[in-house]
Amino acid sequence: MDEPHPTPAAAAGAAVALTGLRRSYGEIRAVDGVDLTIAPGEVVALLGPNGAGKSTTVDLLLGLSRPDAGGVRLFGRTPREAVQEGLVGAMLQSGGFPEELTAGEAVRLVAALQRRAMPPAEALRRAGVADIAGQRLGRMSGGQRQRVRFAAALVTDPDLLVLDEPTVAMDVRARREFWAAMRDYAGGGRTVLFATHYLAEAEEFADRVVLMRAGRIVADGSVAAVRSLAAGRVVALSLPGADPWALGALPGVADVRVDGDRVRLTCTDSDAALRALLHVHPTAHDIEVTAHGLEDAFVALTASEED
Amino acid sequence: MPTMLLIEARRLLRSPQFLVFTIGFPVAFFLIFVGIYAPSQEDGSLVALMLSMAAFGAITASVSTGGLVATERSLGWNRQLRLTPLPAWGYLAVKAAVAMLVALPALALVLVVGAVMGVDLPVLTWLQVLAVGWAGVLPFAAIGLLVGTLATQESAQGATMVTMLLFSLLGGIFIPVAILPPVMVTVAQALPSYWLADLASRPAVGGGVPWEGVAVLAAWFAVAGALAVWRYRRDAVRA
Repeated sequence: MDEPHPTPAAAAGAAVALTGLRRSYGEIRAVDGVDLTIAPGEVVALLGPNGAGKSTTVDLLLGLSRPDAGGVRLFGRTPREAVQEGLVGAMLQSGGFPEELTAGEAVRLVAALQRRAMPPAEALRRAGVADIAGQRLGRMSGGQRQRVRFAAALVTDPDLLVLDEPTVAMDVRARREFWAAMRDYAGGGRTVLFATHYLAEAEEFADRVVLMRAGRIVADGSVAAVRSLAAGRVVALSLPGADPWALGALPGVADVRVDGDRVRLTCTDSDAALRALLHVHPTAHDIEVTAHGLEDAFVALTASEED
Repeated sequence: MPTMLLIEARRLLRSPQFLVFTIGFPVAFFLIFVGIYAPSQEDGSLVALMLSMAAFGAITASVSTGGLVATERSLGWNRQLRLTPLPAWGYLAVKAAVAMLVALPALALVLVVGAVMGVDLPVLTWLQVLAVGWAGVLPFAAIGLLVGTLATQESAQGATMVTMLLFSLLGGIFIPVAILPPVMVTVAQALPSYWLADLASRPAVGGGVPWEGVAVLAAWFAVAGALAVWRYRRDAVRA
């Protein structure tokens, strides 16, 4: 990257540097100590269930919300400076465009306000909505509107693209086209951070997955690395009168589901769990041990301890 | 910002209901009052009524336009705009300009209806009334924006309605100040609505520039505008 980095202390060279980030809304600690550094050119998925703090992290990162503690640096600048220079483009989850505007007007408007911008028609083309540029947003499908917002995010030709749940409201085809456009863009060495709760999207499009739970990062690495972090297994067994709380307290158990006599333990260490289980409950029978899918890894890593 | 203003103006033209309501409302009031009071051209009561209704029209139009900001806030559009270099005051300046654009036909239409009803003034005086009245709308554009930055989408319509009715009633636009008790006269003279009507009437009924009134209008504009900017900045946290 040819970006200058005036504050080497804030992780020189980083497209995104979040340090000790905290933000509470009343009693709720939406973001509870997040440290995250993203190098230029990385495509990172911010993955987590609803309420994990993804959107708050995105808001803090973009300067739309002020942290209670901690710092944000984008290319060594404050979020506001980075925005002013047109280094950041974003699709917000709650960034609705006025419905009376046409797609072309919305993108033209955003382009006119920026200090540097590509021709609006080019942004519309890249986002795959050039053909509906004259249509009013109020008459478009949710997926089409999302792509118009993508065009508006692209129009400054930003170095960092931040997408908060970008494919919500898109059908399968729109989703595929959207990611193709995104890949095209990221291919030019740009940095992309997208928040999603779709595992498949994270797996397919990200170089790196950052998993959030209850305002914290619980795993960070390549898709394969994150999956192996949760490389536990599922232990299913029959145990009449099972007590889910007691089972949840066994070593290596992350999640317990009881359905009649049938018990399903999601384990981070199935060997330890099994040994302890048979010691406490020698009557457990019909035991099956199966390997995790990525879905289970997700559940294992993001299930909260209180469950 | 010129592009934004242009697009914003075009946007409003696509909401005919809004325009018909805000511009047509004061004319309807004017006609109703004419029906009730049967004012005459000779004793000046028709001119007075027309000027009051013109002020009411300008207030209605500018306050309701400012109130639309509440809808944009609930949409999250202003959050998207925050991801551009556009400063808070820039956004509000464009919105104020749009409010002024809507106020102009609202003001003019009442004058046109007045002329049709028989108000007879020299051409230059008509223009002066229009120009002074229009300039006097500026504080209301700011007040409308303040309402728009404070209200939610649900409460915006009620809030703008209450705002314009309060200013109109207490400012002596519906009830002539001459028949109000002294306390209410003092209240009226602290309000921009009183001075808007007063200033707009000067070219027609004579008298110098009431500097006290100009000062009141400027103060309302400055305070409401500053509060709107402050409020809009603070609103960054959550739409």
